[in-house]
Amino acid sequence: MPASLQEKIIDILTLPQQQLEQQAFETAQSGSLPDPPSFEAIKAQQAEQAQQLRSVLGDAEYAQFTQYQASIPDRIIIDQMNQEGANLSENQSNELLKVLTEARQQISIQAGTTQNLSAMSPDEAMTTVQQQQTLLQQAVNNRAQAILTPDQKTTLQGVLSRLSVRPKSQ
Amino acid sequence: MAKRYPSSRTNFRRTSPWIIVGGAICLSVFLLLSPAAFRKDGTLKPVASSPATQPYSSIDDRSDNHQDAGLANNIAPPANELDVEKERFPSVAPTDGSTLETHRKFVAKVNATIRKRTRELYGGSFSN
Repeated sequence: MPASLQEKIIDILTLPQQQLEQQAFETAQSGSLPDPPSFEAIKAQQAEQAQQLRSVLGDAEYAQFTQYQASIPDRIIIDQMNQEGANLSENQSNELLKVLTEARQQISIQAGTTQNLSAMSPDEAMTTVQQQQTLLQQAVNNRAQAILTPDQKTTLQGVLSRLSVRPKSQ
Repeated sequence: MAKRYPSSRTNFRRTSPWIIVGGAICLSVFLLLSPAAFRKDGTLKPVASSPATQPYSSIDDRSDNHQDAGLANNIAPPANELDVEKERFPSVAPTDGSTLETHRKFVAKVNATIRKRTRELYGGSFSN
């Protein structure tokens, strides 16, 4: 991908953070606390960003890009495992990425038919996300057995547990 | 016939139970109405930082006294909330060029970091 196109994509991806910083600074100047963006505002911003990316990349490349974007949480898990000394080979990384991505997609599809997070209260949504995380951990642990050594599996469990959404402290 | 007045000793005997009962009632009412004045550890909390008189708990209150959280959520903020907020978070409007310049440098640094992290995250898709 040409460097100029990469820069353009990074511009689009980082624009929301820059706008948030600017708004926070302007609000602070007036002596108030900045309000966090509403759910609707975030959704509108995401739709606008998607539209901009599509117009820059074209339909086919945009589809690949969104596929990559959806796999970023799983890539972070693998990266974190390696940072913790798991030393995954390239083959292991690819296999594990496939397992993680497929398990996440499977759970999203199953959940999507019955659960709409945006229609739930924050507590209900939190509980649902935690249930999905538990399902993901179970699915990944079962399938990763054939890919990882026992030590690597322990590292994976630790990483998954640390990256999970935790229940609110009572 | 001269009227007989009770002695001061008898008077005290008659009134003392009422004083004790009255005092106990006052103490009970005070304790019922101001549970937030007491911390979990039993020490007295300054009234000024009680949720009943303050729209927002301090950071310390949020982290170490979850008992107050429910109570604080049920209390309607006062009408002059904005004034209180402004008092607690005074205006940070830059008054001179050096403050603006510091802010500009800070924002540039943050944006550079965000761009770098974004590039790292999406590096795989760029190499395709």
